[in-house]
Amino acid sequence: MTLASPLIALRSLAPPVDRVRAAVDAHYDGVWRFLRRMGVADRDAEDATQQVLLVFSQRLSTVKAGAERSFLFGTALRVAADYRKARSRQRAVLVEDAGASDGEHPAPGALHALVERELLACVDQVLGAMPAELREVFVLADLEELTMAEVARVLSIPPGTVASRLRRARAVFQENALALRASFERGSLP
Amino acid sequence: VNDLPPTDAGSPFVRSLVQAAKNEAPPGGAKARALAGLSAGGAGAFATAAAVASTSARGARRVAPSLIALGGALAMAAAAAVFVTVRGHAPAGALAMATAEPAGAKLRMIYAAGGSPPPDRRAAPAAACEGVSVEDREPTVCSQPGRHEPIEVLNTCGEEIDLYWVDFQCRETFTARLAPGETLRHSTFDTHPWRARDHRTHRLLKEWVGPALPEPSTEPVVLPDLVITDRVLTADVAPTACSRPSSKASLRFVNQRSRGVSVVFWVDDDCHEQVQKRLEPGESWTSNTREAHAWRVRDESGALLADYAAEGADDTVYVAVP
Repeated sequence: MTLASPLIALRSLAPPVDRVRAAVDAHYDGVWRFLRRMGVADRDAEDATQQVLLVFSQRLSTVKAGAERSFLFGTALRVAADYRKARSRQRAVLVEDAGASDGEHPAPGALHALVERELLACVDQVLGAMPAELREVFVLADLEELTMAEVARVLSIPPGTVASRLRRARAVFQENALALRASFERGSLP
Repeated sequence: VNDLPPTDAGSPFVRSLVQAAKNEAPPGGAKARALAGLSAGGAGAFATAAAVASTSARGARRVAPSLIALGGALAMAAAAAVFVTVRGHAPAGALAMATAEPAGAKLRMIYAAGGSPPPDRRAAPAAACEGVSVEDREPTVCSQPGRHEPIEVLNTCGEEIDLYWVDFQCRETFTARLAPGETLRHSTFDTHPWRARDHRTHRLLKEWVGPALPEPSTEPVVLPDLVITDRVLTADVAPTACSRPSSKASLRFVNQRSRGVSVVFWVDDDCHEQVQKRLEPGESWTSNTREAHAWRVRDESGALLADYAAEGADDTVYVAVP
């Protein structure tokens, strides 16, 4: 028996509250960020994260010890999809709260002055232009740094598909980002 | 995967985007608010407590209830419309899902396509709610055991509203915040009271209890046969009509194709296609289903042969706020 086994056994015996608390502690930020990257507006991200945690707490008994992160991100994926579906009905834009101050964009040559918020607006814009299947893989693997196996579990796709999508996603992200940067340098947005 | 070229190769701009995305953090106190839910004790209580914690996080702008009561004279919302559509009875299977409601569980910020308000009620959120309020007393009607019903609440105010379920102890339990024009589909019971408050001022805008539903019909509705032929539908877009709560029904699939396999898919309430049945040429199959459930049939190559969505039947109770 490896050292990990009794630890896992202990974790599975941990009181449910502790498990939820541990999951909140370890994964709250990641789930919140993931929801943001998947199109949930800033003002709604906290509620959406709560929704994910509610599902987690209610289905705690069905979540295997050690699979908390996959479960949380998988649930977040569905919550984000539902959110986007709802928002699209109201003709809301995907990145409405992205923060780039209502149409004001950096002047040419001023990239170095982009503050964090504006960078995040760019991230949303670049990700928003990616096909959903590539964006999901990219955010999970490269931004939230889930393992390949976890990404495969979250998205219910084979690891090989994860790898091929990630390869394409990285290329598309880079391409979109460079196009955005070029548009800044031209003084306009695409 | 490790052999794949990394995202940030060679471009400081791309690297800075990736880094910014990785560094972004939730607003201060968000995690603490989530954790605060745990202090209410027990994982079972977490759901409720987390919802309450989320509410109180936004409650800083609340007005004291006693002050709100002074404004009760403006009881205009009493005349507000409650749109009710009742057909048959909710599916029995939904009851088990709805029992989690006291913990705020059945919160679904989604629009199953068919369950959204009919077009005539999908008005732009133009109605001003400034002058709308009802007398804000402590709830005296508490939730009681009743019959399951789905509701859909539409915010027609120009402001955000908060929805509260009045629980079995007559306590308001936060359920959802709705932006102007936003709709919440929720599973509830016909004996459960609900309250809608202005998010900014906490002013009570409306309260209601689900209408009593008629006894469910024991006989299923027999729907017209769905005939499958070799004709392929030209438009094969993602399903836009999802299954909705509705009366029992039976639907017969008649496969008139002379060759090949036909696969019947049920379009679930999230508009996802779920494989249900494989039909050989000439075979028929009757599904014990619901009147407003959606179906699709595809051939062996995946081409769409039938796209079925019932119109009209829907158990949802529609509520407009105010």
